[in-house]
Amino acid sequence: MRFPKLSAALLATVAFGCEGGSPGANHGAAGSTAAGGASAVGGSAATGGTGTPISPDAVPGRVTLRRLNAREYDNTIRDLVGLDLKPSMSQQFPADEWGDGFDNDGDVLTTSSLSSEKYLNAAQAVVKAALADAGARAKLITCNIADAACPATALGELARRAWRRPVAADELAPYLTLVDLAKTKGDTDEVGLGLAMAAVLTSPDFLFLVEPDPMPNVVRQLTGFEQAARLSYFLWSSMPDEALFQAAAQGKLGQVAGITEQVQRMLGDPKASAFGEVLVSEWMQTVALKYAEPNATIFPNWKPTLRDAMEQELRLFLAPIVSGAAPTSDLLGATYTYANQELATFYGLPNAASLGDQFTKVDVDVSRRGGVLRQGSFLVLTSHPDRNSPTRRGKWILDRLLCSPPPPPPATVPALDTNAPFEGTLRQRLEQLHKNASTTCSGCHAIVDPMGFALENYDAVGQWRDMDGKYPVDATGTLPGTSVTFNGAADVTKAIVADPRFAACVAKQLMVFGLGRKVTDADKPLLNSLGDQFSKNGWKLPELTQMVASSVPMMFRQTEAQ
Amino acid sequence: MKPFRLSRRACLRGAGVAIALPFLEIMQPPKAAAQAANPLRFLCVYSPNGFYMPQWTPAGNGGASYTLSTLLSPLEPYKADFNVITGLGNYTASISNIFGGSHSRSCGSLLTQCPIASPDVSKDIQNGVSLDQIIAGTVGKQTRFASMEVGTHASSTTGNCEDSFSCAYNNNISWSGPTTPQVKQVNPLDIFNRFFKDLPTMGAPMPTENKDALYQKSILDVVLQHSEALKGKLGKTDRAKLEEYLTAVREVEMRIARLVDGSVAGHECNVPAPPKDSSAMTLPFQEHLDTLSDLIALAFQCDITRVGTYMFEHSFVDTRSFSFLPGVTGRHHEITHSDNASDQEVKINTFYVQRFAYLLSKLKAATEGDSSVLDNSIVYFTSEFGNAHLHDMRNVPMVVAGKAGGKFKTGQHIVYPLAPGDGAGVDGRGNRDDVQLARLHLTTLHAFDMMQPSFGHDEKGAPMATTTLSELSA
Repeated sequence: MRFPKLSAALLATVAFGCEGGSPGANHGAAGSTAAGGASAVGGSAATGGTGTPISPDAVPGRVTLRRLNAREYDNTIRDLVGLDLKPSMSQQFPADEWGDGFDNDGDVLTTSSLSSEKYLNAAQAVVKAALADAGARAKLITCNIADAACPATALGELARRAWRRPVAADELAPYLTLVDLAKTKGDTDEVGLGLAMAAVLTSPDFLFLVEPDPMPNVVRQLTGFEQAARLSYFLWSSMPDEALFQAAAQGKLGQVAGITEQVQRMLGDPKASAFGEVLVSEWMQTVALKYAEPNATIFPNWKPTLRDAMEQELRLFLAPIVSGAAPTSDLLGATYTYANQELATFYGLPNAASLGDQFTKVDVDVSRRGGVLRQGSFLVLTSHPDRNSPTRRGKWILDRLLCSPPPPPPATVPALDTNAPFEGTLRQRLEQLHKNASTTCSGCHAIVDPMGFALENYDAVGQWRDMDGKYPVDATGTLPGTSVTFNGAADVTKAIVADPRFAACVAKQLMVFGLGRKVTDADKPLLNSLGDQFSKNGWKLPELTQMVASSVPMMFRQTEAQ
Repeated sequence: MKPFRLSRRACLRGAGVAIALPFLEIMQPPKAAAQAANPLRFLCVYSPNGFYMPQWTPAGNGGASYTLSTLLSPLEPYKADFNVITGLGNYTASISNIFGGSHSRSCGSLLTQCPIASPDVSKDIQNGVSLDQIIAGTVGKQTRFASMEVGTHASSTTGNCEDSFSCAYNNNISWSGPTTPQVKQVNPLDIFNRFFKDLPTMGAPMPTENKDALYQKSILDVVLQHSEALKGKLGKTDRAKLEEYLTAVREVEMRIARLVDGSVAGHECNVPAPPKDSSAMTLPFQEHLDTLSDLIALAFQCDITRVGTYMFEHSFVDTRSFSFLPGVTGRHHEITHSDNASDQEVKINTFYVQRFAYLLSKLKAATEGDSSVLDNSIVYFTSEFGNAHLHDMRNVPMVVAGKAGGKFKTGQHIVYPLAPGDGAGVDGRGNRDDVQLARLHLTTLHAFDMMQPSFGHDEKGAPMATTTLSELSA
């Protein structure tokens, strides 16, 4: 066998399919879809999106039942009823916890009684708003409500889309009792249907991405409908559209080619802006930017409006990378950025005066600007209010770009006493402090700080500086564990792009977000292989996205005993 | 039916005036009320990032005749109504396989007294059930809401948590299950709408049937019924996740069922106009805190709930600037780790103690019969550490206010000397032989007539407490 780990997958898939409807009417139909895909997988899982073999060591791992987070809930409601109601805001859903840098980790997304109460209220409010809107109502109730069969028809159609799978008639029977209840209380059929619809939206089949484990301890391929949901929440943070449902029903999502086709289509859809936004706010962590409060006395050029400008710069900068118009290596080494006059002036870009309020693409002096590590968003969010922090910058790079976070600091480290007299640069002070401290301190800082030192030409608000106070900036150094020397940001960004950990890390970030779980050591061979192909094939993010979307962890599921 | 009889009155706070006006005034509870007129309440108020202990701990060896410390001096008007307890340890917080995450471990275990799972050895979240939720499991059946969890900060939302520990530990002291934090409400208007909006108004005729509640209950019944089939199809971990949701649904269903059959208790009280909407977190910090205190006092007074947890802020993840306090520049956590900023730390601590004093004033002003809501409560005021700079888990600051309906003796400084020897645990900050927080929690449970034999457990599964703190008993 070329792919020993996958042989179990094939067996399980076949067995699952042979049992036909045994997992129950609701998931059985989808089960046979998987069986249909089994033979296709035998050939196609062997190849990635570009026709290169997936690592034979790839294992799917286990994704915990994922609740929709606030963003996914809002988008799903939008696409389900056609109204952008944003219930997470109007109903004030409790905040979602994050796991491993993203907000869709199944293990840490919990539900308390407060959440379930909010879901009930939201479901009722959504149905009420949709039935009160003529356009939305017409789509939800396509039959004449006076016909006896109409409530079941309308409810069935809603449940199919809301639960993202075929729904058997007997599943809906308990929901339809609500129509009768309303009648006995003197209310109309429409009131009763509204109750049933609210119940459909309060069901775990709606609130969670359900992937049953009909057989214990095997690797099984996802059903077409499960695959459709994984793809749509990966790229749209929302439910599948009809084209995806159709592809699922036709068994096309059981094959790498079918997934690749859908991913291409989906990335071109406006809904894919959700994917770009996740990369900006979660991977690049601009979600923390709003808390940045640089000290206005020390940095008189700082204006709070720059926060939004810097985030917008990053958003516009990432868009062509996500769409494939620019290579992902530009993330660090671009010769351009996006700015309006305010930001360009703040950065000291030469052509600032010619710009207006609108953001435009501008060329930069590559010795000073270009790439996220020389953009304000990163430089500000890793700084203290009164000074920049080489340690925080180094840690951010290790964590977000190289996926090699340093170990946590000891519990009792004193903060840097900036009031204590010291003659020299911040860098010299830190180096002296860590040299004098115990090896617990110096060992880690020797790994974390150098890449931060390379960015010493940027102050806490992201402006260029040649001097640190009275002393000239020293941005030279050697990359930890290598003999690669650098002088300044341009050098260090080149070194990061050349580090194979960077390409694998981009793959890891997409995988963590795509799967909604942490990656483990078992995933590392696959991530290294994906990263390798990604960097060798011209750093095309859509291609990497396709490879992730059609990878073994995304197409298969490690089942558990019940 | 034991209906609420409420009247609404305007409140200037609702119009945005941040001055201390009487937010509520109690009316005499109905003589016919069948439930105990003065139920016992529990509230834990958490203040983040420890306290500057040299100015927190009162001088002397304890007893009834002691002088409040500098930091505690804002509590002087209520000195007869609380105890200061010195020397309570949180050993469970120090149990860890990995270095780091100590704020998370201390905060997460504060009310559970169970070890927090280290991220490298276990599932993403693993804790125990917290004291407030154990109490709510019993007394919560008698009120409209089993418990109330509030704070000023929803989530850390910086993408960064402490050393790979889930932010759930740092953000929540209330846990209804090992993997289920009771997430907080933070917007006063949202809290008001949830707890007070639907109360029947005084003078209005009581509806013969609560149809809306019946419909809601029926929706949840259908969902629960349908979910039974789903449960059987899932693997173990997923089923536990689903069960977490279904448990939450069941809790809401039971709560609504009590509204449908009219079996919930309630006291007559005045409900003021709704507070300001601060969904965008725009309220000044002090106004935000005081409004939350008003709402807690109101919920206790109206007997809408008897159990609460209240987090002033989160520790560690610093997103709030304290520059609104004269002489303070920066954030709380950073300041506690700065070698030359204890004056700033004291200013932040003082601010928090003053806000707790405001809460006590509200609970004490809420009279019921011959006593006050404060008299009939057990109110903790605490933090995850003593000395925050050292992440000290051996001397957790603790004020226990309220007479527990006559069961607690108050007005004392109770001192438990620390056990000899150094701290233990991965970072050397806890000691199993100190008098443990778990003993206080067990004492509180017994005051609720919940006579559990023990509270919490250590890494070996041995109980953290089997005896109560006799010094508290009246």
